[in-house]
Amino acid sequence: MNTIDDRITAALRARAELLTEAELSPAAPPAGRWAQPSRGRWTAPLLAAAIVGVAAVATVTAVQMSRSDHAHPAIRPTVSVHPSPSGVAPTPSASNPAPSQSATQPAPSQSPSQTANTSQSATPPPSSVTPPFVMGYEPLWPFGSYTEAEQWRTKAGGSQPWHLDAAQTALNFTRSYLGFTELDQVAEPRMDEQGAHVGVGYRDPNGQLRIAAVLHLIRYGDSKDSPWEVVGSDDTTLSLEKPAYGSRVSSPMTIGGHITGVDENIVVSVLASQTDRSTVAQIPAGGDRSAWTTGPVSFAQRGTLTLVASTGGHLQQVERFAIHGVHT
Amino acid sequence: MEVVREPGTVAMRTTMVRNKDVPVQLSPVNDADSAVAALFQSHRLAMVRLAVLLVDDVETSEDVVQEAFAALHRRWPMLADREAAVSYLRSCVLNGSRSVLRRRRTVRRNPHPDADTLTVEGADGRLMLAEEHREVIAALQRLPRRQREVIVLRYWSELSEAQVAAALGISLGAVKSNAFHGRQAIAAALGGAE
Repeated sequence: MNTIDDRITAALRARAELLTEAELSPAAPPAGRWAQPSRGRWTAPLLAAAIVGVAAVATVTAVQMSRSDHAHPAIRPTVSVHPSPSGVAPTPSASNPAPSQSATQPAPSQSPSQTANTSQSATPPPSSVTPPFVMGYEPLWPFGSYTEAEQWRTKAGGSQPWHLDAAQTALNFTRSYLGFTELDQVAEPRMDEQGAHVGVGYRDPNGQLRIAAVLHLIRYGDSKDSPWEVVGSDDTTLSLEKPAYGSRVSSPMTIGGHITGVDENIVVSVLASQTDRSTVAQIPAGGDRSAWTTGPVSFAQRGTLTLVASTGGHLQQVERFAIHGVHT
Repeated sequence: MEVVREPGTVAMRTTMVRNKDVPVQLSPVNDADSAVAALFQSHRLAMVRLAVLLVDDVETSEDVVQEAFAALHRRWPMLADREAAVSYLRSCVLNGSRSVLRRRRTVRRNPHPDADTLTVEGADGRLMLAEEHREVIAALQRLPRRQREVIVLRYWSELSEAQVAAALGISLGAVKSNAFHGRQAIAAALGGAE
């Protein structure tokens, strides 16, 4: 071996052997029936599912035939997507109301499944939908799972059509979920193969649009009418980098990133839902791409977590923010 | 705990396993619990270390390895060649690590993450390394995924090129090419230290 081969071998060995048996978390080997490919034990559930499926299809057919007798229009209304013009807040309309401004609109983070439950009962059950879709990102909002997203798509009957509008979803996420109600402007989404990138922000006293964050959304499903899901932010002058996106975390954890700016006060929060949130740190920071870190912070939330870093105080309370997805 | 046993008896087998040459007593193949438990005892640490070299995060690596053993347990009755258990386990760890890296891909603005920003554990771990090793590991983490996998399997797992090809499901030529380019990139990062 020459020098470079020796160096690679030695470095890999040194890195690997930093980890010893004693440092591994206690764990037991898998055992028992749960891990077995017991084809037989699935027979009964599959049979039951098949029976339920057949019954559901029969019910759907019967109900639809019944409705056609009364010449009702299609259950699912036509939904048109109108991206908000650059720098202009979306205008609420009958077909696309802004949830934060509509008293009759359910809270977005809680609505998909609830709406699905109260919608037409003549739609196919979710068990008839095979879920081959691989997210590849942390699903932050509004849906907690592919099943929820599919339920909305197949059962909501067109309610809350803002799910089909990336700009509106980004704005609702910012205002309703994060609670940054001062941010009421949304820019034209930029679409690429990774999804939609939507700037949300505010207008300064001179009327100039200020982008507080560029949110990244993807369609939660392979269908063209799959709803949009917020999965992260495209960070520039304020970033969240630790822990790594998509990593598994446990309390306490250290949250950190970089910031460019002067006299900043970074507020760091952990959200598991609209109501399960906590501010875990406030850090004075500033400089040119200066590293910031919270030190170990404790949190009680479980599941998919949205980490939020925000700063402001010059023109308004929140002027920039970044989000990050991890899970416990 | 319920133990599922299948009819039939199978002779005891042994196999030599990766780089520590630990002979593993593979229990009767109809006893997945005890056989996988034996492998768990003898190979868990090595597999977690393999995953750490790929994903740079101990906690995540432990999860990946636990999933790999669970998959092995489920697969146990179907394994045609019991001596392939370790290879199967390694493939599971590689696949699991790949999934973890895929999930992290939305660190989009930083596709080749700075060595200090991968994970807290990774950064802390590297701090305990000698400077010369830190440089190599940092260069390794900047490699494209496939090159990193090939380098780790060749230099740490000490697999032959054919074994690497089998483990990754790629051609021998692809192994050679990835090893060459990975090695070149690391050398360049180290200032052309050949």
